[in-house]
Amino acid sequence: MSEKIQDLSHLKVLIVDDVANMRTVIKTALQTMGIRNVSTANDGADALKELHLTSDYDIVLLDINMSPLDGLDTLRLLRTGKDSPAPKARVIMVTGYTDAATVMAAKEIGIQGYIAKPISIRALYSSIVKALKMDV
Amino acid sequence: MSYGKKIEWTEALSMGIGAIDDQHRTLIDLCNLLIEVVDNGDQEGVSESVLMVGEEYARGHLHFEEEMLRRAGFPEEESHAAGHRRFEVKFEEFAARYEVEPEGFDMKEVADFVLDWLYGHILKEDRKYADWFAERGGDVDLPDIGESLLGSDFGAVGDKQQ
Repeated sequence: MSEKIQDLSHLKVLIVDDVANMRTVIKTALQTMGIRNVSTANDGADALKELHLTSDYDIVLLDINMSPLDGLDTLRLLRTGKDSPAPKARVIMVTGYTDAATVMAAKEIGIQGYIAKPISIRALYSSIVKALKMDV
Repeated sequence: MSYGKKIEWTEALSMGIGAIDDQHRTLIDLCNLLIEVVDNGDQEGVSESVLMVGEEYARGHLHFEEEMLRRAGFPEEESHAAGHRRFEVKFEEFAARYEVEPEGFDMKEVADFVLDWLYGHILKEDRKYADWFAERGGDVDLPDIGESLLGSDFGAVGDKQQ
């Protein structure tokens, strides 16, 4: 019984993914852990627009492979953009890529974790718990 | 061949236990995602995520139900649990086949199995315990869904039981 209970039901999460069914799977997985305050964005530009409207998300789950604005460019704009709405947002990259270079590039820009697709409830839960403990 | 339409929740599916109904609704949501993948094709490996999340959630739900029935002393708990094991064995078989040959894997076979099981199990088997609880006044000692879902290492994860 190493890890202790963590209630995540108070969290507000933004899912950014260009595949509608993937947004739904992730949203359902979040709901199973009690997280119901969830919004979605269709790509990086949509996410930035949403963050300009509401920047108080606890976690942003950001897909890498999107168009026209992909995850890495979105992350750059979020961290270093002059008009970034949320430079301190906690970002977990959700990626289908397995190459270390992509993850490394995201880490250099600044992320609080990453999970690889296919996603699982357990992996998502663990990555969120870890991200909440990390400095931004 | 496609399904054309999705499953909708009806009162006939209600067991009169809020937490169980919530979990059944989530299982139906996941079934509808499977149907969506079968009808409209896969994109960026969504199907694999649906299978993983679906299997994890189904297992968590089944363990939650068994613990609830064990605590209550439901006389048919063992045979109910045996039905759950049959579901798990079949799902393990699907997972093993997918791992060996993801390209030729027929997602519709999984969707058909889950749909049959969901309706058959909820409407027949789950109804038995729902009636049993109702006869006893409806008091139910609910386990922790977080523990059922993620294991005791994680404990509760904020599920709001009704």
